[in-house]
Amino acid sequence: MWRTFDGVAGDDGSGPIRRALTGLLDAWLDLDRSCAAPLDQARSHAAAVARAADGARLEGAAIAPLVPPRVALGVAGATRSLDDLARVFADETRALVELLTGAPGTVTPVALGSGPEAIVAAFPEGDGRTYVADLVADAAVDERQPSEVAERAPTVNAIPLSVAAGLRAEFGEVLGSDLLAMICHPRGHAVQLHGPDVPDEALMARVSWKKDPMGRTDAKNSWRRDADGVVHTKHGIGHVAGKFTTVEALIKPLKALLAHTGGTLEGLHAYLNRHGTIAGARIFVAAEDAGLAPGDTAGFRGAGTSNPEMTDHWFRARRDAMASGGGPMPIVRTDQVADNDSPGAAMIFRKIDGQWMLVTCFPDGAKKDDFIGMGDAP
Amino acid sequence: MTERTENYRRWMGNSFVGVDTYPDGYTEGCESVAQWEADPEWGDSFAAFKDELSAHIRDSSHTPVGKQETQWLNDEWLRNLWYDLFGPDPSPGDPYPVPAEEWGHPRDTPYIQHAVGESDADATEDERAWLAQRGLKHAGIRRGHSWRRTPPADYADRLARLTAEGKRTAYDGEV
Repeated sequence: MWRTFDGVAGDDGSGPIRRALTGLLDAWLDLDRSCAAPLDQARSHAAAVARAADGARLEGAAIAPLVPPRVALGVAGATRSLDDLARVFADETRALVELLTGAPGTVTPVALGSGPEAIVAAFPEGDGRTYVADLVADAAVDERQPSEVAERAPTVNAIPLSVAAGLRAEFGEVLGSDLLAMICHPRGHAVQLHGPDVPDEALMARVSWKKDPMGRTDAKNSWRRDADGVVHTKHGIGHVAGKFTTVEALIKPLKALLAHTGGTLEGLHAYLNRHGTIAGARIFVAAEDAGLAPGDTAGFRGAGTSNPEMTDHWFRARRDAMASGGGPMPIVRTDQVADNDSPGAAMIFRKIDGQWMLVTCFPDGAKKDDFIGMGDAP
Repeated sequence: MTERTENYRRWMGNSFVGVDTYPDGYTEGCESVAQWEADPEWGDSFAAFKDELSAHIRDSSHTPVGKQETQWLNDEWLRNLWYDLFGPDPSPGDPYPVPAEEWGHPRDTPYIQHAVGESDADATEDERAWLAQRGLKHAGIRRGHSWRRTPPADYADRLARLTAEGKRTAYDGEV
């Protein structure tokens, strides 16, 4: 259901609001996790403290009997104070969730130490709870890469020799060399952006801060971080940065497509002519058709991006972090093949000077509608 | 318009869907319109795509991916695509055109999100041309929202009427 809600978040608040929500939820989860145990510990140690004070007297009166009630009083006071703080986090979190989703309602109080599931359950059932549930689930496993770390992430624009060796081993000397030329065309970047040698830090920098892993310096891809942390780039990247983990995995989709088109370069070209346009040809090869298995792909995705609206908010929050020199948006390690129901590889071809070349090939969680599926396209 | 034609799906699939996973394909498409329209081999095909896009916007007849989203959200996405490709004049017959003054401030589109930078100094020639064709300047861009969340009051009735007239196919969760 689409929501009957307009504009309260302002134009545009959703990026800064999502960043604020991320921070508040972090704080609430952290408080919930960290504060209950020490207070329990203080309470349960009261007897031991009293024993240690045995024999001590103050103005003639024994101190030991005073200890348990004083500790209990102190713990109760601290608990009240921290519960109040959690309540502030809860109310503010709820308000931000309402701004982002339009879902109204109040949160029920959550005692400290109740755990993440209780925090989710405190929200009224519906869009607000769904939103928070996704954020909380990912918060347990997310990673954060500050922009100063992204700045140091390596950029490499090279085709490792293992790719040529892998293609020749798979397809033989002649066809392997032709395919190498197709994949390593100067305007392609399948290997540099999605090949096995792209390190985790570069993928994290790509999705968190839009940093081009191959370090191109043209107007569309150049990347700069100012001393104050503001990041500038137009590098095109959504909320997932992924790669193939081995040369074998990288060439699996190509191998499947080649087999589907008769096993020759001519057959592949004819196929792309049949299904492409002047803009190029994009073919989705399902993981099962390519023989892609869990472990063949790896990468990072934005945290809390389980529907288009949440993804839109994550994008805007990333933009806000970049423009304001802020902290990183959370990301989650993913294996697109293992983590999705109908994953595969997206292959993007373009015809240059009459020859089809591979612009890129990357793991994808699902076939987008109207994206040509190899299995549906003879 | 009811079903998407093969020609329409071919343009959509090869250039415009999946902007999230491959933004460059979408934005390069937005910068290639004049070239495609003038191409002797592809001009007619692209013109037919343009006409069909317009019909789908008019009739709410492009059923969204996986039917997981509302028809309104998909219509709004197509309005963005229309603007990104063809500029500020609404698609012919658009029953709910975006007010012209909202484009670029605060309504942003995939092209604005992925291809429009912060200032003219960093801009590409294609980016400058795209902005100029739409009367936008970097300084005036205000990135707000990409769709109107609330459908107009008569939207559900309109969908029902178009469905009854055979111009579109209904699905669960469309409103």
